[in-house]
Amino acid sequence: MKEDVLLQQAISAVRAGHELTARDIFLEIVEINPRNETAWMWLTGLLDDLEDCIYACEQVLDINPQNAHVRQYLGQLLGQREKRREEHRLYMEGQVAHARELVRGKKKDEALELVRLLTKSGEVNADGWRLLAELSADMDERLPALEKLLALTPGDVKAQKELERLRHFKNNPFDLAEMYAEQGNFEKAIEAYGEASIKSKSKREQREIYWKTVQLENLRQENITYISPAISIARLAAGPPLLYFMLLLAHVGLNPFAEPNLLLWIGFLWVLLGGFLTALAAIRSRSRIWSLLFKDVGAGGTPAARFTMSAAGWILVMLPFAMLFFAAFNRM
Amino acid sequence: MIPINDTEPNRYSRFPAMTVSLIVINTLILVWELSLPFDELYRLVKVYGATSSLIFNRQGAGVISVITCMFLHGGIMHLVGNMFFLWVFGRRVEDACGPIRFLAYYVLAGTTATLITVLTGPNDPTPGIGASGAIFGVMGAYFVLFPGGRIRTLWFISFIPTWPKFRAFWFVLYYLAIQIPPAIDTYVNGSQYGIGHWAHLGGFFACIFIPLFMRPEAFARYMSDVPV
Repeated sequence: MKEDVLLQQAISAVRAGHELTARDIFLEIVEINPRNETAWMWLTGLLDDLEDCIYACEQVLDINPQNAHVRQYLGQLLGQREKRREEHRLYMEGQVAHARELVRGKKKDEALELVRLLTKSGEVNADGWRLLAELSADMDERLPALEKLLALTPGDVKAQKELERLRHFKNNPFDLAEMYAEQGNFEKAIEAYGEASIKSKSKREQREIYWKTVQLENLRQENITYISPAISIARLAAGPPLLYFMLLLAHVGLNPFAEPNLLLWIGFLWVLLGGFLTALAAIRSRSRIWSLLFKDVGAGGTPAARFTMSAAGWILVMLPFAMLFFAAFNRM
Repeated sequence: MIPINDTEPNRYSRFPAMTVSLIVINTLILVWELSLPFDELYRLVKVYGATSSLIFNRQGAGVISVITCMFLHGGIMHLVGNMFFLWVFGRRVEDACGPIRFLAYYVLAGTTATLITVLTGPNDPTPGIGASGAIFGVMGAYFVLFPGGRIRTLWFISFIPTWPKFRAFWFVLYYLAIQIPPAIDTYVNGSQYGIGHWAHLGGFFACIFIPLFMRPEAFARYMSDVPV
């Protein structure tokens, strides 16, 4: 009964030009009776927001599927929504492309600010999330960005690997700190050691963290040059083959053509490979080789993967040395 | 002028485990050597000392002797002299490399020393023993990495002991310089000094390889032209 009275009041309000009052009364009616088709009908024309209008039309059609007029109107509204979405998508794409342009123009900070603004609404495309994950140095920003990116493009293997790596770092700040330290990013490394210190359980580990932090503070103050991991790997990998070569030279009496045992020379290649593997395991920074050999998790592999690689490297290095000494022993 | 100590502190590690291990091993081996009868000791030195003529002609223990000769010494003074140098210069070089890489460098320096000895006197039948070749390599590394390091030395001025400090640069250069005339004399005139001057120079030459054995932080410092 009250519903009918309210309906009359609302219709009178519409006719008198008091649309806002009428809208409120219709809303009150649908609150009392969500199956009131007339109230919903009126609301389709009175609500401001496009999504609300669509919702009202859907309610009318739910109550009375035969209402052809509302069905046609809903079609129009949906068309409008699609058009708006397309416009928004194009706008977002344009903005993300602009951010990419800024990156190319070495204006990374500006680009990052823009991408942050765009992603705030949550309606940015996959490229926007990817750009945020690429530009941001903040782990707490990169992780959700990659998660959103993967929700939009689940088949993105690179993003999946990056996400796994970041999750590993999140759980292993010690690894993260060591990687930053090797990259020469001492500020970040010290920050990560601080994080690791909070998570550490033993006094021994805390002492180690303290020791490392002091070292990094010194390095930061001294303004040390950044040495790329590739150079470090090449440098450290060269030591064992050089030693083997020298010993082999001694074995052959300084005459490389005097040794009939080809195996000993092939051993040099083994030492070269072994030296490379041990150097790779010793360098914590991320490397493309880790992506190929292992699953690229963490700072150049998981501890188990690093151990395996290091052990394999040592075996490869030691085997030719053992062969060389065995050959010398046989000659005695 | 005998080096007593390196007055500079370590930066990366607290204890020079490999340097101390090498000193202990060399000492134990000398104790064992001294316990042997003379003929056995003679045979030991013949077989496990690095003899240029045998190495050059691919006879004898070859590469085994290249390694073993580094751990044999001719007497207590020979050992003590070498070990003082190893302690003084090895500590910080090990610190810059890490123990395993330091050992590899030490062996490499010893091997280079033997190779240069063989190269300069391929027909010399005298077996060479002692860690001095490898230790000169360590001194060379110290010369490259810590030229400004200050070395406490022991001097006797009219039998009165004094302990002046010298810059490592000058100290190593002095020891290098006094090797050159006898080395040339040995090569040109075939003179015998009972000391492997060419081995010392050869060991020193190995210092060009030290960057391959340094830990990444130390290498970064070296490349940044700041104290390693």
